[in-house]
Amino acid sequence: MSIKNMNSAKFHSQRGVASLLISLVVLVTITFVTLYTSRTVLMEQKISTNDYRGRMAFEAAETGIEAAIAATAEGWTRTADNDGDDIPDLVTSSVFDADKDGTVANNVDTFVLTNGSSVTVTLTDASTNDLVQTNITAVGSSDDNAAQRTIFQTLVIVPPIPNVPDTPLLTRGGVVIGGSATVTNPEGNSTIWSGGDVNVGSNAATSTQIADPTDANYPDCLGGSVICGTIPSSSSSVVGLDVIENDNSLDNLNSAAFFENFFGTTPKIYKESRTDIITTDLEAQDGVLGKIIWVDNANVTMNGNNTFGSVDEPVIIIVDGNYSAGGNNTIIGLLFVMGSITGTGSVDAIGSVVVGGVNSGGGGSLDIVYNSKVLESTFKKGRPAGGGGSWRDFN
Amino acid sequence: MSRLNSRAFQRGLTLIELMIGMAIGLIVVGMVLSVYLTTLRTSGDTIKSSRLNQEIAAIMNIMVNDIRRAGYALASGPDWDNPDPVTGLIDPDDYDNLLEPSTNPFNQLGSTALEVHNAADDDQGSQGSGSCIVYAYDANIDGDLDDNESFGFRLNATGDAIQMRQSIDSAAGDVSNSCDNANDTWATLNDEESVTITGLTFALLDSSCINTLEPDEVDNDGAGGVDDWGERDCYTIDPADYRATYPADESIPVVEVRNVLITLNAQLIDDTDVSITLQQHVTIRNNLVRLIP
Repeated sequence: MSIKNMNSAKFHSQRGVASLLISLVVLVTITFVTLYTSRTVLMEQKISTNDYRGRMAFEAAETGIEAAIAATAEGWTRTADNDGDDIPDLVTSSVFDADKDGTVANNVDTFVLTNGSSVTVTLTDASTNDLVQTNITAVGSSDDNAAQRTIFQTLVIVPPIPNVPDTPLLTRGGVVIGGSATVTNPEGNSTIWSGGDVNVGSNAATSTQIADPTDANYPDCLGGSVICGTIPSSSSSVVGLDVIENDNSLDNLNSAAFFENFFGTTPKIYKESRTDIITTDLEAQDGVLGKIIWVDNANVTMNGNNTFGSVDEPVIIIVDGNYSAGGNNTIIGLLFVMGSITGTGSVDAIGSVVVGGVNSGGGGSLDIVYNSKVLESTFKKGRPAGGGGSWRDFN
Repeated sequence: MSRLNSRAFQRGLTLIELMIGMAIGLIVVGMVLSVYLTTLRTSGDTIKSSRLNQEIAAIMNIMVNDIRRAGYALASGPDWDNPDPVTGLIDPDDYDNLLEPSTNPFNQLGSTALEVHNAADDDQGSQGSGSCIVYAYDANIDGDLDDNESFGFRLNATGDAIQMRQSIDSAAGDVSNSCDNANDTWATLNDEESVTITGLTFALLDSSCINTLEPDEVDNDGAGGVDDWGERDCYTIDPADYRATYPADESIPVVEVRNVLITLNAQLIDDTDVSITLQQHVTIRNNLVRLIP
């Protein structure tokens, strides 16, 4: 058998070639179909990934808004107008440096979140109103920086006291001063405002002081922007116009309504939502700065010598009961006593004292110097919140 | 002889050989064909479901992103350049909806605030569910309510497509809180050639409402508990029903946090076996703050 014959014989006997060809064609077709499908699936995967990155950027931006609100809750202040928009700049304390890298420049901070996404938060001034507003812009980026989302919201700071009191001593009941008392208001003409009788006692040292009308700064000092000297107005023998007695509008209120008039909310809500410290032992808080303290004690007795607050970081102390002064206590900020003030110790206050009951210092001294700047500084403790109707994620 | 021999050698195949060969060939071709058909079918299914997925996910995305903005309005603040013509003074609270929610033109209960309606265009209330949602927000950030800032999504009248509201004609009497105005414009979102929407529901059941005067140490509803939870939740107890138990000279501020659960069902027109159900929650960021007088 020749090779040629062999070949020919082989070719003729190999009928499988048809199957092979058909299979080949079909397999090639399958390959193309699969390729087409995988292209579609890949496209879908790309779309899902883009969607995921977009969500990641959005969540990062939302985080930035919340971080700015939380940082503001820890403290803020107004500084000079560095950006030149005629509004003093709001600067949060260093806590706005959320990544703790030590840099907070011009109220812009960038931080990286644990999932790799990052956010840049900028605070810009919105208003000079007492109700402080600041615009937050948060630009979130996904971990690969491919997606970016921007969210805007206005932050509103609700002050802890809706209005700054304008008298050094405000009482719903009367005032009985046993020892010596000096009530000074360098920013105005009223010192004691009471719903009951005011009995300043017989101590020769007792006096009230009002802004001196002959001072060169008068009347500009009445708002507290500049300082005036003071002159005596009332004393143990004379009660001047600076003392307002028996004001029915105060006397007619019950204790809860008096509190609500002052703080704009019920005692229970205020205690639950606005206070920083709730304690029964006020003396244990000696030296505390910049806090709102709720004293849950029907009879607070202060036997030691304590100082609460500072001019830069005043306190608001709310005593849900009577306050009995034993030692020497200095309070910078606002002292609000729902019951009465009694006792033989001394109370020195810079700011204002408000009493829901009667102020009847037994033999102790009472010195109050009114200071609106200190009281306004309590706004630092205001609670920030995202303003309703101000959230947007579009330009 | 050699030719004879050779011819004798080339005898062809026996019937058995032929049949075995053909059978093997058929089996091979059959297997290949079945693989081919399976591949074709599964890729078809994959492509179909992927198309449906993409289409519905995109529609869901549009809805979620847009509904989330409901109630936004530019807080313009004081108008420094235009003092009051009579008094010559600037009102710092003028038109500042941050200070006065009642001046936000995009979030007023009963007119522009978000509402869910049923197919018959009836308001389903603050915790109801329905196939149409309407709301407004300040899209051009100018503080004014314009006709093309009343938005909404609905299942169309025949119940097979999703439509988005583009504008209303307020001059002709259209209102923001209606799903069926006479002169409004709606655009269909889905590809009507290939996809049928079989269901669309907006449910507000996870919304909540807080009466900010509570706790007030008063048993307002007379249910025996001072400051029980129902008194705080103004969906459970409408403060207006117990108006006398709140201070007469104060209005009652309530804050509603609206949460919409969107459920979307869809299927392909040419293959009704391919269907999808998508659900997503969205919390409206701009809460509805209102004062009960």
